[in-house]
Amino acid sequence: MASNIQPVPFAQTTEVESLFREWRSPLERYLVCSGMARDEALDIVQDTFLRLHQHLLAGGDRANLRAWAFRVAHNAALNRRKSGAWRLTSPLAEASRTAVAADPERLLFHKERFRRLHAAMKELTSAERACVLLRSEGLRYREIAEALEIPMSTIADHLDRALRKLGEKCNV
Amino acid sequence: MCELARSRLIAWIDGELEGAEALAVSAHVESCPTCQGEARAIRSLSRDIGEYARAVTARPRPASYKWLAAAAVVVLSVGLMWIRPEREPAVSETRPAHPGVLVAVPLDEVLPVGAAPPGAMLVGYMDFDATGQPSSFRVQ
Ligand SMILES: [Zn+2]
Repeated sequence: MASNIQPVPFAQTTEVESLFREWRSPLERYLVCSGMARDEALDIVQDTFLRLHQHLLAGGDRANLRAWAFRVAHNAALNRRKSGAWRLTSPLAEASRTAVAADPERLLFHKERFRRLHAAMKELTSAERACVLLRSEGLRYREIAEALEIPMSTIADHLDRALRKLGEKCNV
Repeated sequence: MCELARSRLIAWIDGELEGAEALAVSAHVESCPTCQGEARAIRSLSRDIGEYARAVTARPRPASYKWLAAAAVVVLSVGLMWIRPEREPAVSETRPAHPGVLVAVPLDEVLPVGAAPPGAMLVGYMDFDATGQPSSFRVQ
């Protein structure tokens, strides 16, 4: 296997590192909640930051870097799904385990809420789900539009439909 | 029923409306119990979605930083490089069952303070055994 080794200026690496700390969890959550296995999601997150590093090194556009990172991760996930390499997982199983560890007394409450939400999430269109997950990570509508490469004027409507469907299924 | 489109109410909640439009929606919500209830429901549901998403990834990541410390020391002694392994040629039938996870770890997270130059990172492939424990680390 060939290697490709290049020294990296520290200043450059420090910037990528600070973005890495800030965005790796949001990117990971976005991918896992979209149905990707945890290790594959981490793989894509790492790859996204390597590409970000190369992007900055090559003097790429610095505007809207967060939307850029989500777009790279989103497209990488799409490619894996198309190639059939995407192993579907259940975020619900992960979430339930976490609930057990975090707070046993609230397990049933969490489990039921997450179960409803998870079932409802699966029924959203991929655009609706992506919009609602990216919104949940604090992205502005402009950033969501850039990440998903869809018109900004459609974001509010996707969110409206998504939240309506989720609300119908989740409100007890 | 109420004349305010729900998508505009959501955009208002998200701070996506500006100027006169934002003021008009604010004024409407103040006088409309239906929209107040809707806004409460949307905010509560949004909190639930956020909690759900955080819970999904709250477990420790499979790549254990503690375990990585040993690998980091090895790499430091070799020299500080950004190392980018070539990827497998395709993600189809040639893809191994466990291709490993590409890991980039800020060295100051795994080494004592001052031991690594600021901003240095360790990059390589982490493999896992059947139980999910890290089994090897390839800095190729
Ligand atoms: Zn109203």
